[in-house]
Amino acid sequence: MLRVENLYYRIGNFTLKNISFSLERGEYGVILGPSGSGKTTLFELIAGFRTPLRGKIYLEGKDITNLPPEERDISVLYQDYLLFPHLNVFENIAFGLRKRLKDPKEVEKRVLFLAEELGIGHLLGRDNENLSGGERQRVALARALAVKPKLLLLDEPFSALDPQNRERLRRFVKDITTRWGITTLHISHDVADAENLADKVILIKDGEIREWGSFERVFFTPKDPFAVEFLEVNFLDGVVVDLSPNFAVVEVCGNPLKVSNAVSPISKGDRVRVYFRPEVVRLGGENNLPCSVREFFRDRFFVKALLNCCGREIKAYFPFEFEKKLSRKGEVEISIPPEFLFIRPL
Amino acid sequence: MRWLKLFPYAVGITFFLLFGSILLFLPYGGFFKELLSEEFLYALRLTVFTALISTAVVLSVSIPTAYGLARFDFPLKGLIKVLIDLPMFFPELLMGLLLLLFFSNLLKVQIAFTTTAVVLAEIFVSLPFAVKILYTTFVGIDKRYELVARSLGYKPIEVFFKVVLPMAKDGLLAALVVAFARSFGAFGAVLIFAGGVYMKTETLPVGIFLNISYGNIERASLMGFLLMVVSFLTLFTFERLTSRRG
Repeated sequence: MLRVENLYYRIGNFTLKNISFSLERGEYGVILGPSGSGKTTLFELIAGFRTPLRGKIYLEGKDITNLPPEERDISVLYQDYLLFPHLNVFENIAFGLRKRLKDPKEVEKRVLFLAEELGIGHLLGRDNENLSGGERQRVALARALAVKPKLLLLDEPFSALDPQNRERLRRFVKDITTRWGITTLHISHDVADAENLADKVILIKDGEIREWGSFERVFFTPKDPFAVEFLEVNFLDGVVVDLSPNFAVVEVCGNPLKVSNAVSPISKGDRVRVYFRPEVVRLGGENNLPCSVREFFRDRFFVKALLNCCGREIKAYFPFEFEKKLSRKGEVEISIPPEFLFIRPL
Repeated sequence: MRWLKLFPYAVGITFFLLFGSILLFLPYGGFFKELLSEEFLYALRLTVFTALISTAVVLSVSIPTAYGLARFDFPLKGLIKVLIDLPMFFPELLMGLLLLLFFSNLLKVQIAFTTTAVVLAEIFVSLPFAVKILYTTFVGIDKRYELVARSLGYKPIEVFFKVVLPMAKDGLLAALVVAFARSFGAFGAVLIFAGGVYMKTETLPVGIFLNISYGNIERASLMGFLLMVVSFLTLFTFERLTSRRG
């Protein structure tokens, strides 16, 4: 597992501070944040390309804070892949292995195995100049995985790809790291990377972690105002009016909402914040709330609507066929299934 | 604007005529006699010998110097870069004077007017060019390649030999060619520091100068012709090697 404790680093006017989080073995963590938030600096601290001024980094129980990169067992993969131009595909994949394995036959066996697994067996003799973006990524991934790292560090690995390839490679990377049980830490500014891949999410801004935890925790019930906005989570405030073992009823501007999930213990009469994601909002049905439509637009096969519910702006993503039911400044009844509502005491 | 292509033609033809004019003055009568003359052979041997040594020294000094400048920050780095670049912008003659003053007058080392002085003069003339070429080369190699290699288990020195140098191949070749060509053709600094001593510190460029002074235009032309052939071959080899990698 990876454990980062109270990392502190300064570069020019930028400070990275109080960075603490952990990943269990085999977990996929995504460090998410806008550009300039300190993601890359954190990446370099963990990889060993920079040394923190304070704090500790443990990998599989070993303190690696002051170890040079070559002794950390951490492989890195950059968005532009950085395949060595003077080596062909085979030699790129074999690069790290040649340092570890003395027997060339062993190296060859392992390269062939990896190439087969990653579907790049036919590329082994090729120069990497003529590879497509997707092929390059697979070769770089094979090179990184060849040395059986304890941690795989990915820096924006999909940002240079077109949407279709990005989608395909996301699935591919997730599949390989899950199947091989590789602890992975992925740096990204793209929320979709975290939505699609993350077991744990670490949200960072201005050099500080704003929110971190399991994917569900961070995406469904973020506490930090920046996280709420960045991850596009809706929330409304209300009062608990009824409590049963399986759900609570919260009154939100006069409307009772059934809620199945509470982040911490609550009691009747508590003022609470109700969280829900734009994707879970429906039109019509039970557990509803009257809203007015402020604006809406189509985004691929969804209609993204900005609504006004109880005086607060609410985002909702509907399937595109609902476009006809919406009209600017019109009234709609939205409903949210209780299992997608989360409450936290205020 | 298509007429602009007349300019390269005009400049190209001018140089062609300039280069070709030497052919009119070669000693066709006793070509091989001149070619095998003691002075000519001595100058050729000395030039090749000193140029090879100085090129080797220049490369082994300029590679770590350029890499250090390209990769690390340290106090007075800007000033040091200027100091190394400066000799490219002043006459070779001045470099010769400086070497003479430094070694003979300041350090009191008696190496002026010797073969060692020829080598030293050639080194100081060509080093700044090699450093400049290699500095640009190393700066152009993304540092993250080195980081990737380190994360794969290689120590910094191994990364340098297994990743940086192979990736810098074109720059190394350019530095090698330029260092050799500069050393081979070094004149002003050699003349001042090593003296233009007949059959002692007489390199081909110095030989051209001496023979012109004696009025032996044919031998001077032959030496000049050889310098041109060597320059052409170096450039040609360089172009072939770099274009093949395309």
